[in-house]
Amino acid sequence: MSWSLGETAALALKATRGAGMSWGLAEETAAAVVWLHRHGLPGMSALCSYLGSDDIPQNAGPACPIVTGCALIDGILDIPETSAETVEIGQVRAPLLLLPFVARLAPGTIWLIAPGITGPAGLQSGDSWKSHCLRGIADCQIVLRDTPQVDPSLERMSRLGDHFACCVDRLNAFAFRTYAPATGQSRMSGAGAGLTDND
Amino acid sequence: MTDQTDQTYKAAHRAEAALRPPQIVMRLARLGAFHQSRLSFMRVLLRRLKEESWTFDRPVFDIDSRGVGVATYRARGPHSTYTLVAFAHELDDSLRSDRVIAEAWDTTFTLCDGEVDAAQIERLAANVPKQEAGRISDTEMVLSRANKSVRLFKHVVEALARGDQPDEKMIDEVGYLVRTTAVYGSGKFGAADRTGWADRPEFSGSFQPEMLAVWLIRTFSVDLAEHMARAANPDTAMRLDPSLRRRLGVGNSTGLGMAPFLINHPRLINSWIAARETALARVRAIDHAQEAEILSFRQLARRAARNADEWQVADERQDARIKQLRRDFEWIVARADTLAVTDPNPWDMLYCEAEDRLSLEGQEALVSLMMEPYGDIIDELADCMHADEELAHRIDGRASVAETAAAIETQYDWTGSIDFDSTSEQARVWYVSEEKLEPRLGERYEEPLEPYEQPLSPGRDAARMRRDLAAFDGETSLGSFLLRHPEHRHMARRLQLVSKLAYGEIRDNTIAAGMVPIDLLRCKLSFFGATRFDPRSDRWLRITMYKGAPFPDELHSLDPDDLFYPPLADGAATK
Repeated sequence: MSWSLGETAALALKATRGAGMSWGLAEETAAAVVWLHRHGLPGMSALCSYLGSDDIPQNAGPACPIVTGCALIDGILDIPETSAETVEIGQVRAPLLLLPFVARLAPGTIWLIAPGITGPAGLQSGDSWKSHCLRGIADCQIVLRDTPQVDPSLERMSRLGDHFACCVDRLNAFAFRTYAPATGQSRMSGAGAGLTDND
Repeated sequence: MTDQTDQTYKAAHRAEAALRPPQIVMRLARLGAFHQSRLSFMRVLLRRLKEESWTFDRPVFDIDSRGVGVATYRARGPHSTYTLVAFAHELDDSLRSDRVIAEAWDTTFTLCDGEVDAAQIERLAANVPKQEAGRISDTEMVLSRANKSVRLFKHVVEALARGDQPDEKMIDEVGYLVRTTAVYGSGKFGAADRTGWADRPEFSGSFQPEMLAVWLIRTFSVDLAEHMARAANPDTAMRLDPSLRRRLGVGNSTGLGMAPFLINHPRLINSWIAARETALARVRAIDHAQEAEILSFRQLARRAARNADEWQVADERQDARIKQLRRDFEWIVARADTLAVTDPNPWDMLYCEAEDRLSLEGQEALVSLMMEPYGDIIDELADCMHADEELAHRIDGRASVAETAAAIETQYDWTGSIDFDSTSEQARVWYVSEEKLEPRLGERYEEPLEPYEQPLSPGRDAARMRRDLAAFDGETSLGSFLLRHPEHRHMARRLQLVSKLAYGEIRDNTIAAGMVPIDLLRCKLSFFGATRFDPRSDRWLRITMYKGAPFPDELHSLDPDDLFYPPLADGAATK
């Protein structure tokens, strides 16, 4: 069993919306998750951990990786201008989700420094991801380097393998909250019943 | 990314009249009156398959006398091979439904990338018949299913088994042996992501794998009927006459599942409409028509008029429109006869007169018809009809609140006259149903649906954002505004995106009480190349695809572009 990136994006979008965030933030989340998977990084695991945390505030909170990421790309937070500078961005949950936002900042060589993400990303795999970058809350910084943190050559088409089945199930539970329960009226009119469809 | 509209404008430096403005084009009533044209995707596909001399065969046909089994159809082009795997099932009449709530179908299909072997067919046999409940993989591109028109299928099988040809009138009346009820592509249910194949030349337009699958499904529907006839009576059975066979298309039932697409894909819609409008502008810019072009137009006008005469629907609204269209065609045919090679700007004059005289149905039918003689300057525009929709187009958070408010004024000026606090202007809610996970349209003030509302009402959302922006200082950055109002982030993104696209936004209220959802469906289906729009309610309709088109075994000897309008009674169809 494997999942296409299109399905992954659709699921991440609905799950994030189902968890209470706005549609616009959910779109950012879905794009971030797909970006991670394109680079071989476990975006769904990070999203699953983040949405599953007990106390995520709706739509915001300074520790939200999506809100923080949006503040970065929207120009609300400062960005280091020299390699000597380190910008503290405070505590962020599931910091891996912040990585796609940081990677998109000009000039393309801003790095995210967080527990579990201390150097070039995309090289770790397996157990090394069972760290703070997927779950929990951590102090994060951003710094300016000479090269991109995630090697662009690592970008590749990819699908989600069977080992993400558990994440997919959990995210489906969040996505389910975006679906309206059927009512008698909606069954009758929602899809436009009426004339017979047989001939 | 380069703006698609600009790409279209720049494609070949041809003379063009002014494009029709979005204020005219992007209204639901007009979009819901669009007709198929040279730029429709099924015509684009067949032109390419013919030009590139694709070959077709049927490696597997393992169907028993009850009509149950599997068949494969292989299409081989210069670069790639694709195989449709078709499963035929026995279906109890009581289970046959076109609604998405169905769980079993007469036939199920998948289009595979490359050749298929027995192991793949075995895997697909365990999944494809289940459709949404099954899983396909990245070697599959399309998942589809179709139900028989029981009445016509039975009649055709019985007639052929007897050694007779089926009744022509009945063939024209129904128009298809099977109708698809869903054609899924682009990563759905595990299929290959579009990004994995979008750079292949044969799939450079829109929906080309889906169009290929449906065309091959059409062939399978006829093969199945002929097979059943032979099984019933091998001694007398005959094959369907090719000219009669060509009058069979593939039916399709389409409902609200497709409706949000136009709203969710502003880049793509812009590319489609911009190509069509550019085509119209090129034709209107022609200073003098050649004799052959005028003759071709005259003949096609008569054939299109015949098409309108044969177009029968039960729906009252559409029936009235078709009756008006027939009157419009009387004018078009008469006016076509007055066209002369000496007329200056003949097509521009014709179009301007039509704008004053014809209904929207008639105007848009004429637009499609005027393109027909000019494939040499129009067909290349099909190459512009695609776009990569980014999930999260980057918002420029440094834009100011004042600039953002001004952009809303420019892009959504049409919302100024709408009172979104009134019940009728917000009467509807787009939502996804828990039962079938499909888009639905509900009544906001009658059902508890608002918490589940999908972001499919750009006009209302722009008006709300404009209201909240007014509370901020004009110098404030959009990023700061969005930090306080994350609920507007979707609209802010859309605003910045559609501001770069001439035809990216529908300029109508998509949640108003009077909104007719099938207008959204018809627009999309006309770009597919569908004909015979047959509304079955305000929310779903039937169409026919590939009616008149060549079959794979005759593509090399026929002009697919000449077959989308019915022949005249005197047999003058073939140029």
